[in-house]
Amino acid sequence: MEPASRHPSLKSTAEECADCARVRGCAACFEELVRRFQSPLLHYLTRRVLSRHDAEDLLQETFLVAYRNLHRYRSSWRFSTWLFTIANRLAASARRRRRERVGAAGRLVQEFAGTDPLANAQENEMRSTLWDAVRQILEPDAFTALWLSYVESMPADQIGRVLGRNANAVRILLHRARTRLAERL
Amino acid sequence: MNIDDGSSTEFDGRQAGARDPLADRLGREAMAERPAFSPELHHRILKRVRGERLFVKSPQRFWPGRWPTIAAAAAILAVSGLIAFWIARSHSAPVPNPPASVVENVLPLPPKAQEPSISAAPASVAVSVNLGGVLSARLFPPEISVSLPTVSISLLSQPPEAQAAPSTTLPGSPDRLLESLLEPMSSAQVALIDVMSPIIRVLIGLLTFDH
Repeated sequence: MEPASRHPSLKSTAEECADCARVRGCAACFEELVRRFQSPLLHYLTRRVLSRHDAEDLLQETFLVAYRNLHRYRSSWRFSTWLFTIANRLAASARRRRRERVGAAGRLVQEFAGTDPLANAQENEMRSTLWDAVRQILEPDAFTALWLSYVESMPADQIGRVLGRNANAVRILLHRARTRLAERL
Repeated sequence: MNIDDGSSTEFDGRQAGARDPLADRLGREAMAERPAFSPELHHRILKRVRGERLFVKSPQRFWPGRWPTIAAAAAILAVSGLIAFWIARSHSAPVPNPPASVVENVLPLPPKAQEPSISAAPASVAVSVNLGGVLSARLFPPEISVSLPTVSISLLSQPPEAQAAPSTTLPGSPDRLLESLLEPMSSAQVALIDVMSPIIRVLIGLLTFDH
């Protein structure tokens, strides 16, 4: 049992919890991180992959990758930025795999997907929102930048870390995305 | 969740969000559809992480306690290696080349007469040898002793060339081993041993030090 004076409380920042989990192998702190970031990450991933089931799988994978690589986490990063970086990469990989599957199987997969009532219902539900229109209009990176900026209130430099770009490139990306959305919506 | 770092510009989405109706709408819509915390999903994630914990061992467990010891040992090894290299190099330094300039038109001097040198004179050393004791030790078991008169032998001290001559004993024989142990060490060997012995002692101490 960790001493109470050194153990981050529930009011501690995510970075303090991550440090405790990394340095002392504190399971309670990692559980706290999972608790805090479950909803924001699931929300983002659901928007990225358009399927709740796939998003949940990716969410589990995100926390698993984070746990495996916790020793690489540095406090100079915000923990949310680090997690969203992992989630974004996993979502991009999943999207690439999905495209390859569709490309390989061709029309068969598309026809099969069109006859799945659950997938259709989920997709219809997503299409009813403004964010789905945004997803249709924008490229994945621009979508992610806009999501992190408007929904997660991340500054440009943190978004840049998630996307692997510098802050100015992110500002330009956001500006162009807003311009395109203003034209189309 | 996040704190503004002051690096925002007019292109930053958050500042634009305060006055852009589209951004405001996007933000509100996203917050409205945000999924609630799911305990079932939380337990599923933790179950997978716990399963992983059995297999993943973070290198943090090893490094924080051990890296100063390992770094110190590596540094000591590097320094001792450098010192050994320096000593070996200084003892095997080549003889400097003779000056390249040639002095012309110098009359040859007549050869000097060979002066007698005190140091060159061979010094004789008288050694008394108990022949009986030597023979008893070499040829007979301990209970048999041979009595022979002690002989005094006068020896000339050997010149350096003769001292450096290879031994006539068989390599690997006990005599050769004893001879090699009794050989005087060169100054390089002495210096190397003087340097290495405290370092080796420190290294052994570090490696056996238990955290």
